[in-house]
Amino acid sequence: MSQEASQQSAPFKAFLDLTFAPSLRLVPVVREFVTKFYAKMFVDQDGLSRLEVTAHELLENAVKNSTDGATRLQIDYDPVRWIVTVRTLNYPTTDNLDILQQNIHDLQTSSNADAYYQQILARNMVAPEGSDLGLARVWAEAGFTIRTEMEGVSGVWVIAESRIRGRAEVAS
Amino acid sequence: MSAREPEPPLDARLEEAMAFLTSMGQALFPGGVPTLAQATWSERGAGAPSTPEEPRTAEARLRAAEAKFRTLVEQIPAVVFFAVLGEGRNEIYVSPHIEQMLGFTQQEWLEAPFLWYWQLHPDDRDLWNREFARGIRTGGPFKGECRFLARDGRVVWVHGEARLLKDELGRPQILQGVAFDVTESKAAQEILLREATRTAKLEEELAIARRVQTSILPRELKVEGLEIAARMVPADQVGGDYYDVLPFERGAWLAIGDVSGHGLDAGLVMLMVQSAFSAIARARVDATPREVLLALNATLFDNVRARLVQEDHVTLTVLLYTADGRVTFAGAHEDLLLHRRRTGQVERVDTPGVWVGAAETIDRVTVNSTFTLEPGDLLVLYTDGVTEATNVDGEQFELPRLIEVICQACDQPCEVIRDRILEATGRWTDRQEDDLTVVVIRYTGPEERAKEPLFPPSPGTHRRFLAASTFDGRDDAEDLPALTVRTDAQVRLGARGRWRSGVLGIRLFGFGEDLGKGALEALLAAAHEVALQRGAEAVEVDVRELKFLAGACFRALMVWLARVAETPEEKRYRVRFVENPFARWQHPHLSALAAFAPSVVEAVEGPGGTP
Repeated sequence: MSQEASQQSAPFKAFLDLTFAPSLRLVPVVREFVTKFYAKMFVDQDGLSRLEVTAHELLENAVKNSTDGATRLQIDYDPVRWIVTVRTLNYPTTDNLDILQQNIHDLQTSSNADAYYQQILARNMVAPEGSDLGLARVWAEAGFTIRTEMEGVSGVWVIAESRIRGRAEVAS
Repeated sequence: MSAREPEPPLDARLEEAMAFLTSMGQALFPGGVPTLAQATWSERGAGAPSTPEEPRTAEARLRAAEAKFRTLVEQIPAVVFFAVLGEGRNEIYVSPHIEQMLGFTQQEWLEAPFLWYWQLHPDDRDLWNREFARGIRTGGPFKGECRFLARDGRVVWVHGEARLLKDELGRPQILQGVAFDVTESKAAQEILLREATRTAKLEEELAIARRVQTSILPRELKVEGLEIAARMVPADQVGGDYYDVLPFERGAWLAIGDVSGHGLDAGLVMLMVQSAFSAIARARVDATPREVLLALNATLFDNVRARLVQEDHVTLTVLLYTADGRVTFAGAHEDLLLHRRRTGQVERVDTPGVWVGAAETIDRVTVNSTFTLEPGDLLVLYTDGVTEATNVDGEQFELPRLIEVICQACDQPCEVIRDRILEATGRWTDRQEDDLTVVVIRYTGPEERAKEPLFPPSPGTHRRFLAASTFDGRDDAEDLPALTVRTDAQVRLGARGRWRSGVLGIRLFGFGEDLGKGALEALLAAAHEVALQRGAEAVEVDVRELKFLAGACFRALMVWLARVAETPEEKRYRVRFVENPFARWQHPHLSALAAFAPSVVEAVEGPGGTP
């Protein structure tokens, strides 16, 4: 695993960029690192736990569906807007990419969030290997918005965003 | 009188005159208070009788004194007077200056002893009578200012002082005094008084205007998708600045304006603008900014021109924001400043149109314009008090400096940007001549419906689970080795099973991660069997020491709950979770599980008492 953690030129940005070979064993390590990294930045400890769930679930999905042996995680916290953005990049199969995008589209367009979440849970009882349970947990339990952006032809960024109240001294 | 040399202060002149009169009286009447014949001195030459002892010397002295007295008295720029009092005695002396003062000759005054009373201003006669009665009672001195009517009808303010000379029995004999024309100083006093009153009134008006202006500003600046910081700093002369924020579901009406003129009138017009804007915007929810502005103009034009008969008008831009970032606006005010996060540049957005309240109809020149905000973009509204703040060299602050401040502070919270602008303006000018208003708005992006968690992390806001286990502190519980999971470097999940009084307890600890999924599935399957074999009333799952629950383990719990739910009712047991209220991640997971299997999981609906 190659690891780099850096801050952007702006002194207040808390930016994290990790690239590592997919291994489920590393996911908890990265999650714990992320949690410790941002623990002192947030006033909102609920927000920290939401970030922890999000980072874990997105990473797990990215690792499970990676085809080229590389997964990338970026976390950007804007202490001015209190917006945390979690981005994972991987290169899934075309089928997995289609399923991912369909799942996210379904999340974004569902008219009844509660009912849709229950529907996903029920569906996972039948087909447990899909990525939608993790995404649904990020969306419903952690309260992050989710969208995708393509990277080249086959790479996909899964981008989750939420508002987490930061410490005032970080921003000022 | 304006060409005259400056005169000594009135008090000094009075003192000098009275001292002179006293000394003159003593010189004239060394033997005491004179009789009427002695006291009367006039052009008619009725001199006082000489004493038998020194007729020639006394007469000569008297004549000399008379001459000196006459010369001095007639040169004093004041009226000197004597009045002999007593029964039947109405002789008086008035110095010739009386003619200059009131237009009647000395002779006329002497021939008409009551002329002075006739010429006394009717409104001051009571004052005179009271003062005279007081002086007679107390022996004086008399002092007062009254108005007299001159021959030509002028009102002349006269300051007079007089003393009473009494005989040996204490009876008033002679009133002697001096009077000055104080019309000019009185007029000056009145001007000063009027000015002071006007100033006080103005101050009061300004205080009211400031209160009006600041009290109607919006206090609630919460708008979905926006971060807003605003401040208005009123000038001493209230400048009529105005801004407003009227939130509605998924959007807001915004306004920025400046009433022409200053003071209370400007404040009142601003109050009208606020009231009309608020009423129109709330009543016509589907209106565009142009429509709101046209309606507002009609109201304002009628109120200001027809009713107040004022000439005030307002620069006003009305903006309609919706949570998708779209902004529609109408009305002329200062350029809107739009700092784009993507480019780091500030765009100046022109606000076409005309003043509100200046013309009866403005529909031809009022148009809707639009722009779209992207997340992180800043919109800065301001009034000319900012850009026209002037430094000691007469140079205005102007837009480029304002834009520079915005660019330098663009990454800061809106409150900081707002304060930086006001600080920069304050440093630029040493005297605030106009209201300063700054509204800084950041578009934070649309708040999607699912952005708030379905299951809030805070315990007690959705469902409440147990905060204590029935096994806490119990030594009499039976350990169940079959339900024990040991942790290792791979499987970081541990478990311990116990039994007591019909309740199966499973305490989970460590990390519920992917690698622990198999262990958890096996544990829950075994627990289900044990519960059924022993006829358990409930299975209590204590997750207080669990540090994380990944999707795989979450799913294992779902599978188990589904199996319990499918168990025939007579054998089915209930599931109770024990949560750690300080591990905030647990609650949403447990809530989700409870929502998944509501017939199995026991949870109290509604707020609980956890931290």
